[in-house]
Amino acid sequence: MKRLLAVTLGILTAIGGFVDIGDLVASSLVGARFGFSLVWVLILGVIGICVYAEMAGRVAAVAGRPTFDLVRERLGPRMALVNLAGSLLVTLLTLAAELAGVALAIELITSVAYLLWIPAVGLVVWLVIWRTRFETMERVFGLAGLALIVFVVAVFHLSPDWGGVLERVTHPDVPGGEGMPTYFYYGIALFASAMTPYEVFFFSSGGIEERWGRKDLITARMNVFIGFPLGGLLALAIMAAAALVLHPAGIAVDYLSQVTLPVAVSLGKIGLGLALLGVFAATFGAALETALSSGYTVAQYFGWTWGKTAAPRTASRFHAVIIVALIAGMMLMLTGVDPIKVTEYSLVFAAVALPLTYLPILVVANDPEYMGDSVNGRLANVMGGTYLIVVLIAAIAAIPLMLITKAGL
Amino acid sequence: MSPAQAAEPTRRTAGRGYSARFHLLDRQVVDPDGKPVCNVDDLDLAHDEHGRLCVTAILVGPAALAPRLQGLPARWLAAVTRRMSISRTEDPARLSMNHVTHIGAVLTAALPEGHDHVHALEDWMRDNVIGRLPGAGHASG
Repeated sequence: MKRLLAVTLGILTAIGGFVDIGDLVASSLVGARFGFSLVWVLILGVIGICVYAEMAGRVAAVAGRPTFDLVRERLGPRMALVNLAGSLLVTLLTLAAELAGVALAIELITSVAYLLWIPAVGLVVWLVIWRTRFETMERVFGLAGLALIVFVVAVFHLSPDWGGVLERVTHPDVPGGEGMPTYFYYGIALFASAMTPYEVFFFSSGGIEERWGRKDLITARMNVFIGFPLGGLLALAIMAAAALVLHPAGIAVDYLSQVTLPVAVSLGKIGLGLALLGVFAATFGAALETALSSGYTVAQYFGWTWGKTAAPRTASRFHAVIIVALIAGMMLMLTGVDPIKVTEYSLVFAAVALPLTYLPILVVANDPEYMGDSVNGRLANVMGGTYLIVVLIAAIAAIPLMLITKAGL
Repeated sequence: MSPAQAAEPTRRTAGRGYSARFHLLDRQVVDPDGKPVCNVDDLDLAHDEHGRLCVTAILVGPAALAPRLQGLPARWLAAVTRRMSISRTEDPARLSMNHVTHIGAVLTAALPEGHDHVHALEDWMRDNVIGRLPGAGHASG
């Protein structure tokens, strides 16, 4: 049991990456618009994040260095500052959207307008970071987020024609009425959502907060190989549910309420209740992850004392960054900007920031001065190298595709 | 040539020796408990009695980092630092190399009591903002 509870860091990280508010809607939207034809991108992304999270976790456990520390050391202060600006923008936009996501989930339950909930949500997120133990935080929100498994149940309950589904997954074609650039635009957004940089920042820093050492390499690997595929499975189920219920009916996803619609159709009220609980926990967990990540990246770039586990007064600049990030996120959302649009745009910027995050991890994971005999094996290097090329192509193509497709219209 | 690059050939002896660029600059400095203290933002070099360059101190803070960034980011960081500066001097904080006990993936430094000048902003933030919030002295674990 203890072993199983030790993987909650991976589960929370993955939930924050795969089924946060942006992905809930993106997966659902992609399922509704493109059916099963983009499933391969999601699988590509899950394998990619596993490869790099494993490396980042191993570096954290063996060398005790978090990811952004490596970024500055290997890229130098100038390129690292470019990465800091890009990643921080993505993380802040995502944080803002998560705060609205939690508020939207509460709105669905209480029918009180989400804008009224945002200040309260921001305050509670801060209180959890300020007072709750790291372990308690990841267990409560990681495990409660697993209520989204109700989407998996819903898909099975809809009893689709599995042969036909497999055929459409393995032979993807662009549905009529959708252009090729739009297809690839959503493909890149989906890929970037699986590999968002704040996931590795949070995961490696979380490992250090939990005082991983060389003996915890197995824990680190279990976190990666159980947590991330589980997050991917949830995203896949959300996409499949939308593809089965919304795609044939021609319903496009614009609101969070439509994301949970397939579960209500398949499983009724109890299913809907569980789905809402899962959405609440996942978005709240993602808010915690992004708020902490903004503190981690800034503190690690400048070399400040950081850490949630110590008393806040011993890491005051780190906590000040988190408070400023939360206030900025709340203010952005209180302008009434559409949270779903905010995450869609942030995913495209994430694609651009990806190579600058993953290259230093790959370089340091190969450095025996840091890693001793735990350097990358051949498989990790082949996979790491291949994914670096994929990430680079996505980074170059992201902005032109966004302009050509007018952001996926 | 930057001072850091100039230091490299003189300090590197065959097989062992440290490169300012690869072993010192931009590395994290931690205290003996492993708690992060600061980053090596720049180095202070001096000639020893044999005329060789050697590192005398680690320079810390945005005032040390800004000149290494060049261009727009350097000007912005310098401007922010000037406005947020608490100390009266414009010089970056210094951490003498005598305090550094180990050079590895991180630099370990045995810090003397009252090394406040290394992170003046941290102290200001603690005394005026974070330390005043309820529960700031309580480790959440």
